[in-house]
Amino acid sequence: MDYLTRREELILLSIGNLKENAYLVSIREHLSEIMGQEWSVSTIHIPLRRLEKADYITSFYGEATAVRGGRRKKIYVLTEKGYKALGVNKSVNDKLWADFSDFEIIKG
Amino acid sequence: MNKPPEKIELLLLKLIKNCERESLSGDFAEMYGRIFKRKGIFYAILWYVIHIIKLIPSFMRNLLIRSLAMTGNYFKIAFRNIIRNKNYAFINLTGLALGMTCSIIILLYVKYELSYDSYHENYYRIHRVAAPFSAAISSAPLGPALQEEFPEIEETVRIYAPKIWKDRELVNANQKSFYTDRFFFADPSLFKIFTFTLIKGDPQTVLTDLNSVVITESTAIKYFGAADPIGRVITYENEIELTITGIIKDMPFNSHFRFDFVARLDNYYSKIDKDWENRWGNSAFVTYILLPPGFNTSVITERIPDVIKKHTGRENGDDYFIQSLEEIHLHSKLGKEIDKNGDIRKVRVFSAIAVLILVIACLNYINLATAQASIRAKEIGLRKVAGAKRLQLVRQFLGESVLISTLAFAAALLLVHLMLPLCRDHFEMYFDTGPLTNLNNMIVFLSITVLTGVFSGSFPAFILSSYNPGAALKNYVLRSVNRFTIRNFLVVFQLMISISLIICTWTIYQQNEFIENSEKGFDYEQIIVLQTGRMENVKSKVRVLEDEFRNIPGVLNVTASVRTPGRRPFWRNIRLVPSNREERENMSIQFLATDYDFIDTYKMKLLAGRDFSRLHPEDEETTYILNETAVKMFGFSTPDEAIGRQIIQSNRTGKIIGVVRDYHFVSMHTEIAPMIMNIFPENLYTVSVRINTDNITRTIDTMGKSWNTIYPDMPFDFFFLDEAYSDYYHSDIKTGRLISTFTFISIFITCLGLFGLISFSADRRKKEIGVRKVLGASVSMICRLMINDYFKWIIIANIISWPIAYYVTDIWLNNFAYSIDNSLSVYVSSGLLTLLLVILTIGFRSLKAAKESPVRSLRYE
Repeated sequence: MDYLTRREELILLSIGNLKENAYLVSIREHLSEIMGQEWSVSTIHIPLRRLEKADYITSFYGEATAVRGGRRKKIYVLTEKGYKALGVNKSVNDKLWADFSDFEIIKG
Repeated sequence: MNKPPEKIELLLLKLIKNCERESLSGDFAEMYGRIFKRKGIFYAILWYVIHIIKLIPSFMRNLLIRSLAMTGNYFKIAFRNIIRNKNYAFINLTGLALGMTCSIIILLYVKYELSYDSYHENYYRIHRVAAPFSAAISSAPLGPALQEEFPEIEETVRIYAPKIWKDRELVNANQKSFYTDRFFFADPSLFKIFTFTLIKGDPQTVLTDLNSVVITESTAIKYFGAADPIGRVITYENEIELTITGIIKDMPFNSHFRFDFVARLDNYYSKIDKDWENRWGNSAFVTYILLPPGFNTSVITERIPDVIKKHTGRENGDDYFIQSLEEIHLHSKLGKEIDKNGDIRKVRVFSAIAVLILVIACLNYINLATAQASIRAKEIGLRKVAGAKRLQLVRQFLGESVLISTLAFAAALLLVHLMLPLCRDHFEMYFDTGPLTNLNNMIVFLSITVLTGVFSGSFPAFILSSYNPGAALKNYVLRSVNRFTIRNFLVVFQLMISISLIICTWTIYQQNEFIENSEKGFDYEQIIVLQTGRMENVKSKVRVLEDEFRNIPGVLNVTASVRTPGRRPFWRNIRLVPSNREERENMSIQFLATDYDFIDTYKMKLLAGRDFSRLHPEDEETTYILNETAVKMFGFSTPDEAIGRQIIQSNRTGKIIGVVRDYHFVSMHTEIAPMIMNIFPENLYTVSVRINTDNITRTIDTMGKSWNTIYPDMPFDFFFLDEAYSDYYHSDIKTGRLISTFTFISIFITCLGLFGLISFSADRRKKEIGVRKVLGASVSMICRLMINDYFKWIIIANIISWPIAYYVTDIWLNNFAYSIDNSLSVYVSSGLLTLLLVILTIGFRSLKAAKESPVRSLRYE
């Protein structure tokens, strides 16, 4: 089982959170909002391509708007493989966190 | 709605892969709109561009994959083309391989020349105090005085190298004695300034002991074999005993001076002169200083005269200046260097030749590739019909030329590997060790290969890819007047380079001949020279040795002098009292101390007066013989007028008794200087013996025996003067030889290309020739038809190349004080020679074409 990089994990999670409205612009905004810092297009675009190639996500074309100069959105959704990968990632994370005794110090 | 500017958006669209084009550019447009609303147009555009740039790395991969798709096919076609047109491929490969071989060898040579001294850790900080007038040397107190004046100077070192005066010394150790001219004396700071790898000994303390000496590894082996030399004693000139305290690795060849021994300067020089450290007038040392990085040397240079005045109270005529170590090997054209320097002009000339030869080879490729265009027209047409873009075709043809140049490169590497030892022995070009295994070199070579490929392939690629597929497939003969003029132009250009090189080579050859055959003013053949030395017990016995030699049958004449002609004598200030003027003038003149019979032994010609003679007791030290130039300098109108005049030299009065014809005692690069001879037994270090050509070995054997009875502790060692004298022209001859080799190669490549072109046109015109023959044309008519064009080109090439060659040869000839004039005959004959070569090359091929039976060429239609 492949482990996800931190960035891939974040992108997968935001695709999950955004439901049917996950495309490049919205993912970027979502992440920038949560993380409190600007993400450049390429830092999202490149992992997206990799994730799609690895079948963690799939894409379809959404509506075209005037804002976009009449061009369609490419909307990403998680695949079953993507969900599984996130699951594995979370369980690894949880295990590591559970054994981490200094949690209080970080919190404080 | 705010839309991104169209031009920038177009850039984005170009970059993006088809399947993503729509969504991604849409995303960008949307984000652009938002930023525009928030921050205005300037920020929006800036953002847009920055983010496109950030995306580039991810697009690169796409481009790469797309471009590799057809590569397999291109390779296949390229190889098929090579195999189908073996002749042309051979011509291209040979030309490019030869061109690359020359370039690589020259590149290695240039790299080595530029690497001189760079192994010193303080390379950029070491400077030399030099005086342009009296050469690379300076006086002993100058270095310490400068250090006192400028606290920035971290270290100074003075080196005394007898080699500067072409002297050599005897070194005894371990019951072995050898002469060496690499025995240097230096201050202990030598090891702080320069980087020498000590095998044994500590660089900080190695020269602290007054009697210490450091020797090189190979010297240690020469004297002591495998035994440990540390602590052993060596004897310098049978007088000074020194203890070995350190062994250094042999100095690399790319050093501007190299020594085998180095001992304490103060130890040696205080034995010659007690007050040596205060002698401002004795410029016998090479002074180096260590400055902080980036120090402006002009600060020191400007104040040197003041420093000298402060210590001596007098103005000094020498313009001392600070010279950086980087400049010394290639840029300093000073006299009295310890070892021979290189010449930046030589480096530049060879670099230019390397480029020219490679260009000639590339032009061959271009010519043949464009000539073959019509053959490949169908392939190009078909590719275009099948959807090939022009850029793809360009890439294909570039790939082909790079393939050819890579193959040529492989051949060139092999050739270079074989040629390097030859270049070392034959042309005295030196290189780093293992130049072909060095990774950096390889990278440079490979980039040259790719550049050569791209350069020679770009023009054909441009032409070939421009074909209209319809015309190409309909089998139109693809001829355009325009293209032919370009090919003619290239041929003219090649011929021009070749003709210029021939003229230069010819001129160099003539100049070398001129020097060899011109009147030197003295006869240096059949003269054996023995160097004795300057130590007191040796000097005193020189005249005994002379007398001993005189009695040997086979010896015609014997004399002694301070140095032999051909070696630079001392400069002295002489005061002359002309009888028509009262005031005394100081004259700087070359001073040659001789013994009796000097003029006879060297067969010089007396123009007036008499030779020194034992019958005149005043001849010992107080009479003088001048050369013609000196007569002129003193202002006498005829040699006879000078006879009997007084000369005052350091408070001694003497008179002129004779005048000799000018002779070239130094090389013909320099003009004959005024010089004066006088009998001065104190300064006789060299014995010259003119011998009979019969039974030379027996004569020399007998001389050796006499030597050994007089100097039992010095080995008998001699050389023939003519060999030593030709050393002066050695580098000219080598350079000439090298340039003529390159000229030959360039002509060969040019002719190869012409041969390719003519055989191509002979193939193409096979039917035409057949028809002409059927209609009654003779062989000679057909030959003329094919050759005619080339005459025109050679004449044009001559007209262009003459002024270029004149300019170049003129610069070179100015090197010599005595040189030939540029003669028209060389130019005309070079032109004719080229014509002849070209006619031979193409005539051979056209004759073959013309002789072919028309039946064979017309049979199939």
